[in-house]
Amino acid sequence: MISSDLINQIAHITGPDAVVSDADERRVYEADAFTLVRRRPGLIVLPGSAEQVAAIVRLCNEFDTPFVPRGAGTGLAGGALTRDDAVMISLNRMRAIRRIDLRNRIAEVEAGVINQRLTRAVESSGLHFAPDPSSQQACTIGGNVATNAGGPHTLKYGVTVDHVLGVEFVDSAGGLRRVGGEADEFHGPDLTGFVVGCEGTFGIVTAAIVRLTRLPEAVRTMLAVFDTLDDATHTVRDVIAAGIVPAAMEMMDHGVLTAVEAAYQVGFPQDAAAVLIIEVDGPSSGIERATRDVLNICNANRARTVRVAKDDAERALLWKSRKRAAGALGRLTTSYCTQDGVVPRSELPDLIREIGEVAVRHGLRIANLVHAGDGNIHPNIMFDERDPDEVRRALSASCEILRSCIRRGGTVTGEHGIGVEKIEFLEMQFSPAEIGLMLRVRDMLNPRRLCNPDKVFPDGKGCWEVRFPGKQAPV
Amino acid sequence: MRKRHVADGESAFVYEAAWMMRLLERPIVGDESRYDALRAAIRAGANVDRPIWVCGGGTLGERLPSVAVAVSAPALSEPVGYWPEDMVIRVPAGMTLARAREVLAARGQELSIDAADPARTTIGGLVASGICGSRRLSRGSLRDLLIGLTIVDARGDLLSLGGRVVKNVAGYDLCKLLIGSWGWLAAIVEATFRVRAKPEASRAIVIDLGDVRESEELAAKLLGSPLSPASLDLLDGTLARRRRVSDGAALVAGFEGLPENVNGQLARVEALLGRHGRTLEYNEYSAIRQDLSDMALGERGHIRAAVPSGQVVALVEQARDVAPGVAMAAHAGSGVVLFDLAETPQADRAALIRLLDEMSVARLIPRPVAGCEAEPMARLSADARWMLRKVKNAIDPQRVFGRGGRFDAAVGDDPAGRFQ
Ligand SMILES: Cc1cc2nc3c(=O)[nH]c(=O)nc-3n(C[C@H](O)[C@H](O)[C@H](O)COP(=O)(O)OP(=O)(O)OC[C@H]3O[C@@H](n4cnc5c(N)ncnc54)[C@H](O)[C@@H]3O)c2cc1C
Ligand SMILES: Cc1cc2nc3c(=O)[nH]c(=O)nc-3n(C[C@H](O)[C@H](O)[C@H](O)COP(=O)(O)OP(=O)(O)OC[C@H]3O[C@@H](n4cnc5c(N)ncnc54)[C@H](O)[C@@H]3O)c2cc1C
Repeated sequence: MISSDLINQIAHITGPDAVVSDADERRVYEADAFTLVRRRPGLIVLPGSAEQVAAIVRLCNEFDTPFVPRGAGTGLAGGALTRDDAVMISLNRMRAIRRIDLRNRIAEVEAGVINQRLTRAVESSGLHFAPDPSSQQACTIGGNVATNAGGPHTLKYGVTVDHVLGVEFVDSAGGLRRVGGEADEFHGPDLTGFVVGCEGTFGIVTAAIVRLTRLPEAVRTMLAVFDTLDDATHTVRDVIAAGIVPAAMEMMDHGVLTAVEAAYQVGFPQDAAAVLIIEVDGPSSGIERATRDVLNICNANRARTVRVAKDDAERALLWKSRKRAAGALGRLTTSYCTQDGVVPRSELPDLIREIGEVAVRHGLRIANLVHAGDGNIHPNIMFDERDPDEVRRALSASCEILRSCIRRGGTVTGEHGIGVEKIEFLEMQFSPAEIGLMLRVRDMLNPRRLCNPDKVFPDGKGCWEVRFPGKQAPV
Repeated sequence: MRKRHVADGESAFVYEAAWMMRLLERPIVGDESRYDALRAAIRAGANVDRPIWVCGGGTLGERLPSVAVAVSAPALSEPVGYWPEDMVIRVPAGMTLARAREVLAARGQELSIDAADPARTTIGGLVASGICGSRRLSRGSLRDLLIGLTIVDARGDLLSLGGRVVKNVAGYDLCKLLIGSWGWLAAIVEATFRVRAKPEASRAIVIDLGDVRESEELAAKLLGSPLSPASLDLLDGTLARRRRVSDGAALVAGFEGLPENVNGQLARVEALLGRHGRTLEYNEYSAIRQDLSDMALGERGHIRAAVPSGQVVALVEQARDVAPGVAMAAHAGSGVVLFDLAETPQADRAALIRLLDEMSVARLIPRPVAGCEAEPMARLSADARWMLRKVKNAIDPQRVFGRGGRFDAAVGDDPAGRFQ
């Protein structure tokens, strides 16, 4: 419940058309892509400038009302969930690309700019914004910064933080702040790098200065088909150990590839255990040798077939199949939950084998989509949400897999974040003292806890009831 | 208690761990971890309200106040963990960069960071200064390569930040705050890096320039081309001659990777720029990179300035106009300009500083030389200072680490205790 006084004052700042207070209209905002918890925000406001965001935050402070930043709502961890006593601040109207500086290869963009739009704006100059989450047609730069988003090509190009030089944000009290800048080198702690990935827990990002990366001159995309999962994961391990840094190295197992084939007819053999999409890129000199090295490693690991995409159309088809793979899975099951964990890359063969055992033990189907070069797994656990026992087993399976990631020296989230979904797992990964230190930093920067409350950290646990173990969302 | 030479001509009291332990009222908790002595020393220092000063190799460390307790991470010579097949290594902070390189080289791998005096520079000091040299252009700076840290905080707690996987978004990435923290937040005891295979080929091409101005167009062409140089350094005539790279100003573009790739790119540089160049083999190329990093050493007088890469040449030119006696080099691809003040007349030094002030260029001046005060910490923006005070209050509220040092001064020292 938001006081009408606050609503009026916010409307005064933004104009009434930027305020959504009607109960039905607010429903649209009740979940992000983590659909298992739904909360209808008390109010949604769509400010048009950083100054408006700051003024709204100051008002919220005055009225002692929590507020939550939201980009496109494609988040997979429930980070943008907003209770009915809180104001959702949507950055969607802040879509200006303030400046493109081709000479220094940087751009200053507002938080609501869609990831892919930035790349479109600079690709005629031979540049792109390298972080390429599969949601890039919808997600915002602000959301990418808040979650430190990755994508298939982060293997070579790095995640969002590697491409952010400076951040403009509104602090939890409503002050407009800037950290970082345009230069690569900075002196003193990496404040910009720290703000990236904080899931909006102490401020609202209103703009970022990002690095633009040259498009590669030559690209070779390979498809390798394997008869056993071990052969595929050993290939991944061997490519990394050989010191080759492909632009991307993605794995789809039997469950995923059959679903994809049904949806897109890419030509994946239905009886294969796994396929790898491996891409190498760079200057044309040397690309043939890199391709050959990868092909040799695939063959040494008994690949049934390996082929290099012959043209852009075939390459695009391979990537379409990958980026929409999880969507295709939706055809096989009523519900599924996409997990996100990371292990050291040499652990991948054992972990994938263990996931197979977990599936058998719990009587479930689990299909794996893997950013294999990074050791980042997305097991999709399929279940029937009408069957409480199956739901329970899916929950246990999910938990076992994430615990295994921790045991193997990895992490419970490589790119989706903690949000509300994984608060309990944070406690498994870090000691109380380590979490205590993070909390002290948060409390210093968000002392009244009005900014995106009850997210990420254990003190928010219990505020969100998760009904099912995961989500029905493509990755 | 023992007096030891700690940092550059300055001595401080280094409390030996055994003595520190006696100072403690409570027994040391935990097992016989290798960091217990350090933890005890930090707790003891905090208990007696002495500022704690963390020392690395003292390559460019600041002058310690005599009341300080100096501690350093144990100088262990073996990695804490090394997973060559994952391309990840965890090393003790007291290990020198040279030793880390040696360990990695034995497995055909490397940490692609260039830094001053690798035999003395420690991993902890490297992370705490956050500064590195030429190859960050392609290999990334420390920020991109560091994936985890173990620290001892002011309470003496041993905490692990980040992890040992290359992708990780669980909780806050506090590692980022320790980069460039100059011993002001906590003592770093271990660091985990992603490493890479030692490139099969590593060579560079030297393009002679009639004048540094020419490098602007050449650098823009190169950086805007499909080629991917590992480093791109500019040396003015004075430095190029001193380092025997060329008779006049020169641009040095390095390439690393598969031999086909490196040689192919070297050949294309000449075609692209329409210039002939001279190829440098591995040893000469690494020696130049080392020379540039070593400019920060010694009593010569040195300024390190940071600008967006497209402004490097403009800065170099303007500097030459106002201070013709200054020798200069630049990591042109990553926007770092290095000024050597050794043979610079005092008036030129002052003029250069004025220029940097006017252009609001971020800079570090490790040591004072006549006509030029030391500025071991960059001037921080009001927002950065605001945020750093918050961070300091959260991580080291008693202000145990580095009290009264370069950071307190930069952030705005508040003798009343807590930063407001
Ligand atoms: C089909 C699909 C594919 C996906 N693929 C990937 C992938 O490949 N890689 C990957 O990393 N993720 C992926 N995701 C997850 C998601 O797209 C990313 O996390 C993305 O960065 C979220 O951006 P958003 O604009 O939708 O943010 P939202 O979902 O609106 O918000 C995400 C979090 O960031 C906070 N936030 C948003 N904007 C701001 C701001 N301006 N300031 C401060 N905090 C803010 C929110 O409070 C919330 O905590 C995928 C999701 C879907 C649905
Ligand atoms: C002002 C300045 C300019 C520099 N310019 C260049 C340059 O142009 N090129 C280049 O390649 N390198 C440069 N460097 C980096 C330098 O060459 C060393 O690599 C770096 O200082 C680390 O060396 P060290 O181990 O001797 O640390 P020290 O010099 O002993 O310490 C450096 C700083 O790190 C802190 N520190 C050391 N160890 C730890 C630890 N374990 N935990 C926490 N804090 C710690 C110290 O308190 C001190 O503030 C510069 C350094 C400084 C200080």
